[in-house]
Amino acid sequence: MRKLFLSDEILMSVEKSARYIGNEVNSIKKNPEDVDLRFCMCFPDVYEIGMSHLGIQILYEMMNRREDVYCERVYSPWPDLHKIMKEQDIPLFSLESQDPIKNFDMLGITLQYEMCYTNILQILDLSQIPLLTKDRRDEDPIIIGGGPCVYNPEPIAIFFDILYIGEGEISYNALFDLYISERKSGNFNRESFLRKAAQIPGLYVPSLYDVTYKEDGTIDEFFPLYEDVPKTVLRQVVTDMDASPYPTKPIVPFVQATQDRAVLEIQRGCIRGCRFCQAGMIYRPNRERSFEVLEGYAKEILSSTGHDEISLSSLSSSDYTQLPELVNFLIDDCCKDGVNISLPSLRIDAFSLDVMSKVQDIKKSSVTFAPEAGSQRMRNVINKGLTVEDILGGAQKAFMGGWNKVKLYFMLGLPSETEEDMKAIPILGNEIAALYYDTVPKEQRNGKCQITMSTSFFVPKPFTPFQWARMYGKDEYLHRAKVVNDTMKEQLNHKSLRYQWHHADVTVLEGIFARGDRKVGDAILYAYEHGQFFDAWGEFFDVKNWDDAFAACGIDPDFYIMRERDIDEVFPWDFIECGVTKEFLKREWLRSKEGLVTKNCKMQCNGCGCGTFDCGICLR
Amino acid sequence: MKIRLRFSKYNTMKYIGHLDMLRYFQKAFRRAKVPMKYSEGFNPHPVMSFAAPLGVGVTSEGEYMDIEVTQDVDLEKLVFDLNQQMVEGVDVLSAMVLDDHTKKAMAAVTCAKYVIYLKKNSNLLKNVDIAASVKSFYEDQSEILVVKKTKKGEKEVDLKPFIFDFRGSTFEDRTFYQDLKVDIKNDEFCCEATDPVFVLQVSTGSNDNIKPELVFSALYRYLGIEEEPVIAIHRVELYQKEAPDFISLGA
Repeated sequence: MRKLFLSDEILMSVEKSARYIGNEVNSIKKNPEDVDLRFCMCFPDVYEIGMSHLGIQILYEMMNRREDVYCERVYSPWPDLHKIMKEQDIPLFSLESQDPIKNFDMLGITLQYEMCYTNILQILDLSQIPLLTKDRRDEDPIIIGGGPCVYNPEPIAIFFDILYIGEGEISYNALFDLYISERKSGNFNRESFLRKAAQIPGLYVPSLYDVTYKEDGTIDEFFPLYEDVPKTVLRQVVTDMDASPYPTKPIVPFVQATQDRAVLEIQRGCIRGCRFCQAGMIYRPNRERSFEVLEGYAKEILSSTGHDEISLSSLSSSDYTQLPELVNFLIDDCCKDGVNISLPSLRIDAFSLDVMSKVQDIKKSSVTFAPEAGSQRMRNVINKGLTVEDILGGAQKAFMGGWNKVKLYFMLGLPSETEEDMKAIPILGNEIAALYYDTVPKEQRNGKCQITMSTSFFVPKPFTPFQWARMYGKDEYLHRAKVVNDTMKEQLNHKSLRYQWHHADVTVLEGIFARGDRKVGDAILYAYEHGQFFDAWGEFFDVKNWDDAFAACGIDPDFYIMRERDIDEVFPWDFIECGVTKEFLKREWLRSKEGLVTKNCKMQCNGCGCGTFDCGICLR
Repeated sequence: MKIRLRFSKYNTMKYIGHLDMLRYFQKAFRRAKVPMKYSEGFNPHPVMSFAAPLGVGVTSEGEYMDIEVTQDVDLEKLVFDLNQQMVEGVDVLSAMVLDDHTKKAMAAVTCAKYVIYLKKNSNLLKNVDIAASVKSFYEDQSEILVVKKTKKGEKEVDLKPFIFDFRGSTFEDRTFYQDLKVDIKNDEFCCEATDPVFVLQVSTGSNDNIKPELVFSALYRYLGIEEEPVIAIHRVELYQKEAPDFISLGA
């Protein structure tokens, strides 16, 4: 009989105890005694969120293909269980074997958004592993971080032994081989292992580097402490998507995950080059999986999981070359078995509307545009190649096809944004509403149209052309949202318009973490030690805890938020060779100031630097 | 073709809630390639319904589910194929064909039988004759009044008409559990030879749904025990009423 780590009494007293029992369909069972290395993969948020993440499923599949490695999983215990574990001194355990994490060889934590940083500390704390890399002993697991947040690893550098820069498919094998041989040698030493690990491409060992600052607080120099430690770390990239491992038997959770469906990753990277978008830069070059391979994956995944829905994952599905073939295959082959198809991020045109009308209920569904900015001027600044003609043309086709709901996504606080740019958001919404009443005759209307505009506040991210940009304070953000809201109320069709905006507190914190330096780590530690975690959850985010933490650690948030960076400033993340060069980003930053649009990778090569990876779109 | 399946749920699967079980089976049917009948519309879902939801933490070997398939299937193969897709803690025990007039399991169920034992033994219960105590609680009282919480508030109910069988003994008496399909003994709970074990048959379904916890609260109060009972519940069978007897939903 399978034994659980938590007692029945505890499991019966917490919410959704099924989060903690493992045993899911397609989860991997191995005898821990039969392997040389035990790895625990962690998504530092609640189970339902973590289980929706494709990256972990890919690495879980890849690592478990090795007979000498057992990869298991762990997620953040919800605060109800957290409290019990702290009170009763219960160590955090893995889902598969239900063994304490502290007995594992390695703990890998994926960092998908900055608001999970306190949850890293929760995982380490509950696991009874020292929070700081400098305090860990030979017998503690090696703590590894990965994911998009590591493109500025400095705010969390003090918590990690290794930060893996790039796509996980490449360097884990070398790391595992090194670890196993060091352990087998009989005199394992943490420091010497990490020193050797730093030689593996893509692996950043923060304890082997130091940083000095200028008087104004910016970085003077960032350097390795030893001669054999590389000065820069090169992002790791999968060059052949068809040959890289893919989970065709993904784990099927009992508790409904946020993404409870089969997922086909059709491509990585994006050709577009929107200047605010980090994903569009750090996952370059665009690399497609071939349709034939995806066709096979779709069939295998549906039959191994029993999912009744399949979805495509990519940054911009409309740019996938063989999209018509793929979509027709899904509709013809999968729909007949009662499988629903969900199509995210499609550009609205005749093709996508035709497809949507086949797979969705038009009366209930909506069409979505992400113009990101209201005015054409602003869209040129951010290099979003979507014109007002594209939007109105697409909306008109949708209205004629029977839709009457439109969703629009925008950002506020973009560089150089004026009041006119803010007002352009509801004005565009009004234009779309007017178009509905002009296009659809009264007798064919299904009530009013519904135009929903949402704005998020822009946060500049490392390795984007906007990494030099300033941010604003909470009050300024809310003022901008108010400008949009007030202008909306003045519109002729305001009864057909709706407007939602995000909280501004979280934006400011995200901004500090996104471009922070090593000093910020102290505030994260302080905040966690004073009870702050689950920042991504509105009910647990308390801005006062953060104000206290920054004050206690002598950190001035304005230094990170309010300052436009000097063009030659040394950034905390400059040691990472991401592919896109600082020269290219500078060029794009300056072009944005002139409102110049840069063509996408399919139209011309802009020499971003990723050509050196020698794969994907760069080969065409 | 309508089919009724009987299945068990035990071990760690007892922590999986009712809706999650529904989704689990939907996916298992797809994996096993059972030709399920689907509802119409843009979000078709398989035609299936459970007889009576099982609470989180309760084990069972008497769960029933009605399904509809679009073509005739061999029952033995169906059970085999489904069991290939089950995780540890759920077994499909049997399948039977329903004729078109059979009431849905959900509507037919009237009563459930449980084997019950204790997660935490009360000191007061250790020194009493279990069999005699339960007998006097159930047979000697003309009514068993409890306060039942409803959506509208609290009301006093007489449990006696809804209890069809209630007996107690200790684990020494193997007749209480030896025929079970699931091993209920669990070293976390009170399963020593001298620990109490009970059989309880109570009204279940959309009307007069009686939870075993309510009966045990009444029993503890009758025995003068102040603490609340912490019981482990194992559902053995679900019944429908065919006057004058109860017969199994699977009969």
